Amino acid sequence: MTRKMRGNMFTTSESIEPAIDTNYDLYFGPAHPGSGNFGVKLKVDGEVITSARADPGYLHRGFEKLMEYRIPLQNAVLSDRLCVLEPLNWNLVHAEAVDELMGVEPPERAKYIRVIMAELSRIQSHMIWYGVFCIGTGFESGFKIAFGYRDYILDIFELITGGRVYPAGYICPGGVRRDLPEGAEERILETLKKAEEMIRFEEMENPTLLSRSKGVGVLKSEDAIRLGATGPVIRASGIAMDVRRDDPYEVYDKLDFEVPVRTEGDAYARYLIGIEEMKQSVKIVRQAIDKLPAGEVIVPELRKPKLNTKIPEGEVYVRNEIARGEAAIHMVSNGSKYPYRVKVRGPDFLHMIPLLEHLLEGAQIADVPAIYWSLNICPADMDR
Amino acid sequence: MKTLVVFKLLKNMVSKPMTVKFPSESIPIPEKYRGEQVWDSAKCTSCGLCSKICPNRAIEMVEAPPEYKENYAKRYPMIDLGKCCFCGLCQDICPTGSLTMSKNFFLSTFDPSTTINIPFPKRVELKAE
Amino acid sequence: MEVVVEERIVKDIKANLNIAGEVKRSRRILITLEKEDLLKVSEWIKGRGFEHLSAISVVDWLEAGIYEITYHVWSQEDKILITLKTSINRQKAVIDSVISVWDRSAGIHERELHELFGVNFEGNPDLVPLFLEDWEGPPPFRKDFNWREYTGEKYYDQENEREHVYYE
Repeated sequence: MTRKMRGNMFTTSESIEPAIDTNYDLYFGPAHPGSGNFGVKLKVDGEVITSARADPGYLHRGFEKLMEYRIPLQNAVLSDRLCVLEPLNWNLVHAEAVDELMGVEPPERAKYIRVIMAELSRIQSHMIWYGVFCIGTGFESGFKIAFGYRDYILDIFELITGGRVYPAGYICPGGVRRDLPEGAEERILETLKKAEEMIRFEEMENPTLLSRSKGVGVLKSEDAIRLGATGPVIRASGIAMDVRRDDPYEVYDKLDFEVPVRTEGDAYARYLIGIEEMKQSVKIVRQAIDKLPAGEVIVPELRKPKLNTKIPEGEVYVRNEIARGEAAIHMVSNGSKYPYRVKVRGPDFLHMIPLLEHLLEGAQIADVPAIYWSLNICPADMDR
Repeated sequence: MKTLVVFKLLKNMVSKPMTVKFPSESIPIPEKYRGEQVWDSAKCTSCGLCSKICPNRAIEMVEAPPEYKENYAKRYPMIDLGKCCFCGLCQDICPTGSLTMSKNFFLSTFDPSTTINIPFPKRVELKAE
Repeated sequence: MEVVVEERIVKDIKANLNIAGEVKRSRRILITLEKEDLLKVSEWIKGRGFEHLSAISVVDWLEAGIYEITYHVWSQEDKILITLKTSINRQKAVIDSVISVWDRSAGIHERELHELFGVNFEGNPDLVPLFLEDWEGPPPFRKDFNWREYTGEKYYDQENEREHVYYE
């Protein structure tokens, strides 16, 4: 008991003495409704946080070890579960790692479908980001509307992959597991109109969000690089780092898109970056559907699932830009059918531990949810 | 900008809601939805590939109890839906198309023992070896 | 593909540090080095613009008796990823921490790997357990760790009839 109560705080002003010890520990999460399966231990002095300590591990499932006991196709299914909010992007990272190890070049159509699915996944993930950011700052209508619009994109996923949230390894080594069904392109274009409706809603003037997030959780650009920030977080701090443009994979080098950058580095800037990125993603999907060639969607030798495909000996490090930042897989094979070692590098591992601790230091208690959710956080991909 | 919000608000009052009234209407389920597995005994060759590819080991090849031995001579897939992640790899690998995935997703239950789909006509006590 | 910049960097490293590098493909360089040279090379490439430490990874080679540690570092100016690869003895798993070079982004990766592989990063002040709670066994990601035995002993007090191994 660090808190000594001497005198009643709620009586007249004479009885309040400065001798009250205002230092105490405060737990944000893991059972807090607004924290996800993740906790932060805050040391608080009055209303100001003096130090923060992240407490991860509530979702640790040992993916890296699990993957050592499964063939690549089963790992593709497993890689969905790396992050609930953007399984298709994680599918893509895993599939690319195996492709590069096996020396397989997916067909052109498969590459375009992969990009379309990854970008749709990014849009719906940013919608969730907006939704949870709204609920963190006390604007609940935004949360409901964002999740409502997200369902239109989930309808598309259901049509193409067969599952609403989990595509079950739709993007698999060698291409994608099945072709787009009849009329899927038109459905996607229709859904993009819905997404644009959502973007217009997000762009509307919103006094709640503005007052709660402007100037809150400022991340300077030199701190951003020091603490390992990537993705929208670092772009809101003035560094234009985007794996899609800097280290292009799939067909991103043939598509025209911009990397939005802001220099303020606060929670509001990150929120604006989210909106800009959704716009760019819509643009990318439109282009990809325009350019979508005909042909095979998976290399012939991998079309039928096989149990004993050997992964050639080697080592790759594949990086992708997912909605939250830079995702990477370091895969080592010793020539057997299982990968020897898989290292999964999730963006939130850096965002949620060193970066969050840094941003929370010196912040007000009331700003914790705004800072926390402005980082586009997913505990699942931090714990792995 | 304020007028835009008001306009949006008025529009929302008359527009259709995003949700549907579930039991009476529902959103269409696409053709290739991955729901509960349907198993066709006539096509099954007992190769056991579905059991080997299953990432969660939800499929087990079991022998029929003695009273069914005549019609079911070999080993057949028993699917534990409690373990199934509905990835559809069993459907993809099945060489004869015996195992397919249906659109049925009404699978919630209070009794965990009912999640096991036994490939024989009647529910019988099966002991896994 | 063009690998002009990559080759120039490899040549620079050779000239300044006398360590050979290898261009794997465009935008990928692999440098294999001794563990004593790690800090020297890290500091040099950090000064050269490789500021973003993407990941640190450990591979446990049981037969060879070594841990292979790889550092993946990205340069935003040159748009190149350098992989530094070094190996340490499995019995004496100690290596210098790069926390002085890449700060906390390196520290957190080292903290994770210390917990999961038991590698000791000398110079890292914060190597307390990260994910695992009440862990008594050996570091779980080592290849010689028998997870089946450990979880069976520690977490299951009764046999679960739906959980048995029926094929390899």
